[in-house]
Parts: sequence; C-alpha cells; structure tokens
Amino acid sequence: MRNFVSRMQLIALLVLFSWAAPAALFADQRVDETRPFKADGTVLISNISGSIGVIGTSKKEVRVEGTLGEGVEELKIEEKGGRLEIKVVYPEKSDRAEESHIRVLLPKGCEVHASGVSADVEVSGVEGEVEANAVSGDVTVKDSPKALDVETVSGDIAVLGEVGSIEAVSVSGDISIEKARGYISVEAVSGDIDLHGENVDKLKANTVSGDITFRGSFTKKGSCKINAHSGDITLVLPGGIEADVEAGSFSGSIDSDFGSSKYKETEFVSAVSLSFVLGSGDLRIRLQTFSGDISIEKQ
Amino acid sequence: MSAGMSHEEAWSLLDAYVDGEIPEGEMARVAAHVEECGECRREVERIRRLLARALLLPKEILPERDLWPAIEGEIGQAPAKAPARRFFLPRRRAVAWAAAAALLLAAIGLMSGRGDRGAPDVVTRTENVRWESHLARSAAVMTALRKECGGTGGDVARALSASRGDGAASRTYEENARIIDLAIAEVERAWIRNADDPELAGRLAHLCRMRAFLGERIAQSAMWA
Repeated sequence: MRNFVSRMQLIALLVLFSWAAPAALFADQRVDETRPFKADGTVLISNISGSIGVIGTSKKEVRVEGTLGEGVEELKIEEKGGRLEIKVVYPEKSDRAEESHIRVLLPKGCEVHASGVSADVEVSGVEGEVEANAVSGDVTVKDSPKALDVETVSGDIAVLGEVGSIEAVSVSGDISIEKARGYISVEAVSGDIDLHGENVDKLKANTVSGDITFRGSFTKKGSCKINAHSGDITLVLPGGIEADVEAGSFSGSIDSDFGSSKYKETEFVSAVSLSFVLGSGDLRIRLQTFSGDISIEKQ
Repeated sequence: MSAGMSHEEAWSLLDAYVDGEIPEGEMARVAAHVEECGECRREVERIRRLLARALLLPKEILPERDLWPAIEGEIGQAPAKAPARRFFLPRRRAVAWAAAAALLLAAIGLMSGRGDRGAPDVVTRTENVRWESHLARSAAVMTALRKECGGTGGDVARALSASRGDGAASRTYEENARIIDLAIAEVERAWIRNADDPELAGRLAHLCRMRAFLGERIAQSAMWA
C-alpha cells in the first residue's frame, strides 16, 4: 500500500512537471553565459527583434546576459577560428516569438559586427572596428571605435563619440554625428544629416530629400563635397577659413556670409552658382543641389 | 502581402505611372510588372520619348501672317451651328495629337524661316537637329540608367510578397522609391534641355544608384522580417 501511494505520488509529480516544463520554456528565459576570448578577436552578434547592447571591457572574456523572448528557439554561441558568433535563433515559421534583449560584454579591442532587424543596437567602450546594421532599429555608438560602418533602413543613426573614420548610410532614418573628425561619408534618401566636428579631413555627404547641416571646421588641406537633390545644405564655418568654394543649384537659392562671391545664371536652365577663394584656398568645398537651398554661414 | 499585377491592369496605368500620378501603393506594383514585361517596358519608354519630344517643342510659334482680320470678317456671317460634341481622348493619345499638331506648325515655321518682323521663337533647322541629336543621346543613356536602377524591382516585389512582416518594409520602400523617382524625373527633364551638362548626367547616375541600393536593402530587410 505504501509503495502504491509512493508510486502514485511520483506519477503525480511527473505529470505536474510535464505540464509545468513547457510553460517554463515558453516564458522569457534569462541568459548569462561567459566564455574566455582573446583581446582582439572578432565577435558577430545578431538578433531579429528587441535590442543588442555591446560593451567593451578590459577583460579577456565574452559575457552574454539578458532575456530571450517567449518562443525563441535558442541562444547560439559558437566559436570558430578566432571568431565568436552570438545569435538569437527564432523558429523559422513561427510568428509567436517575442523580443529578446541581450547585452554582450567583450574585450574592448575586438572587432564587432552587430545585426538587428527590428532590434536597436547600442555600442559603447569598444576600440576596435565596428560594423552595425539594423532595418527598423536605431543604432547608437558611443566612445571611440577605430572605424565605424553603419547601415539602417528606417532606423536613426547616432554617433556620439569621436571616431576617426565613419561610413553611415540610411534610407529614411536620420543621421547624427556629434564629434566628427577624419574621414566621414554619409548618405541618406529621405533622412536628415546633422554633423558637428573639428578638424575633419574629408567629408562626403549625399541625400535626396533630407537636409544636410555641418557645423565645425576642416583641416587646412581638407575636402568637403556635399550633394542634395531637394534637401537644403547648411555649412557653418569659422570666419578665418582659407578655402576654394564652389556651390551650385538648379532651382534653389544660395546665400553666403563670406564676401567676394559672384552669382551667375547659366544659359539653358535657371541655375545659380557661387564661387570664391579665401586665403590660400587649400580647403576644397563643393556644394550642389538640384532644388534645395544652400547656405554658407560664419560661426 | 502585395499581389502581382495583371498585364491588363498594368497597361491601363502606364500613362499615370510615367506621370507619377498613381497612388504610392501602386507605383511599386506597376514598376515590378514593367520590370518583367517587355511589352509594357517598351510602351513606357515610348511614352517617355513622346513626352520628352513634347517638352522640346517651342512654346510659341507665330504665324507668317496675321490671320485675325480675315477671321473677324467671317464672324456673324456663318450660320449658327450646334456646339461640337466634346470628346476626351486617353491622355497619351491627346499628347500624341498635340505633339503632331505642334510639329506640323513647327514645320510650317521652319519652311517660312524668320520673318522680317522678327519671330525669335521659331526654331531654326540647325537648332532642331541639335536638339534631336541631344534627345537621341540622352534617351539612350537614360534608358540604360533606368534599366540599371530598376533592376531590383522584381526582387523587391518578390521579397515583399514573401515577407511575414507588418508591411513597414513595403511602406518604407514605396515612400522612398517615390522620392527618388520624382527626383529622377526632374533631372531627366532638365537634362533633356541641357544634355551636355556633366553635373546633370552625374546626378542622374547617382540617383539611379540610390534607387538600386534602396531596392537591394528593402529586399534584404523584407526577407529577414
């Protein structure tokens, strides 16, 4: 009798566990895994929905912490030949998976590749090269990676630290760079581009309908080439620049705070152009729009 | 999910498509069909060439002699007639008729030459040949550029159809494709009148590359969603 009761209790416990376990699997799962990793390796991180946080540390290890959303199959962490892949794996044909939010702490000298779809990406403390892609998520980069390559479709891009080389492309997201220097290439279709920087060596910026604004300074022999279709271009520069400036617009207007400017209209279309040279003219500035306005202002 | 467009439906929208007058949601569907249908593609190119020629025609052509005194003399003498029934041609035929009429008048102007009273708007034969040559060169390059920038249309349509997403990728594509297509149309119109301008040519090429980039990124993002 006692054996029978014990056996029934065991069966009851097993039945209870079999009901409870799937429920646990479908709830948010906390993750916290740590692995040793070299100081200058390559880390690839991908997450479809939620967020990816990347933090550079002085430790020779990679730690992944956070929560996996309900319905997520697994968090895959795999190392191959010096490259560590961290991937939130969603079921192929399921619409039930919820957002996952992961933070990856890694050696600050690593090269980082982070990809999200509707996941926001934030990178801080990393000194190696950073590549970040998102579709509708926003990308924010703090501190000073060696080089930065960012691409979004509708997410915004914000670069808050001082980065020596930046390439940023967005379709409809806005691009904001606060401490530009060195080499900068930015492109957007309808997003606005807002740049602040000192001693920028080379700036290339293109938009179709978004506006482009640059406030700051260039190196003595730097170059600046900005092109917009219907968006406006605004440059705010120090009064003592020594530059060779050419600006043109087919149907927009051109205003300049700098003297010695001359306007001309071409024969075939109602285009206006402005050109002047200040001092040595070592800094080369070329601004073009189709219908947007151009404004060159003194700080 | 967006369904493919039938040939008949696309054909009926080609005029409005070239003019950019159809709703945003339909622009991508027509573009996807045009990409895959040679007949529609050739028709789109023919409409664009026709409109480009119409743009080049002089805005005003003065007749060799003043016709008004003779007309004025007839007024009041002709029997009253019932007003002519108005009829409306499909837009492309209306443009074709207007272009044909204007070409006829231009031909009359050419044969008359410049009168002593100075009709500065009459196009000389040399200028007309120059514009025709520019148009031919421009049209060939524009066709090639458009083919390059529209090359991803089919991929985008397929990716958006297969996407399980909430339609955000489709909306982003349509909105930004429309922005770029309007920009391309503006530059094309300017370039036809100024085909030697390298800045316009470069701008057109850049816009077409942006169009292709947009298609590639949207197709990728739709597949991930």
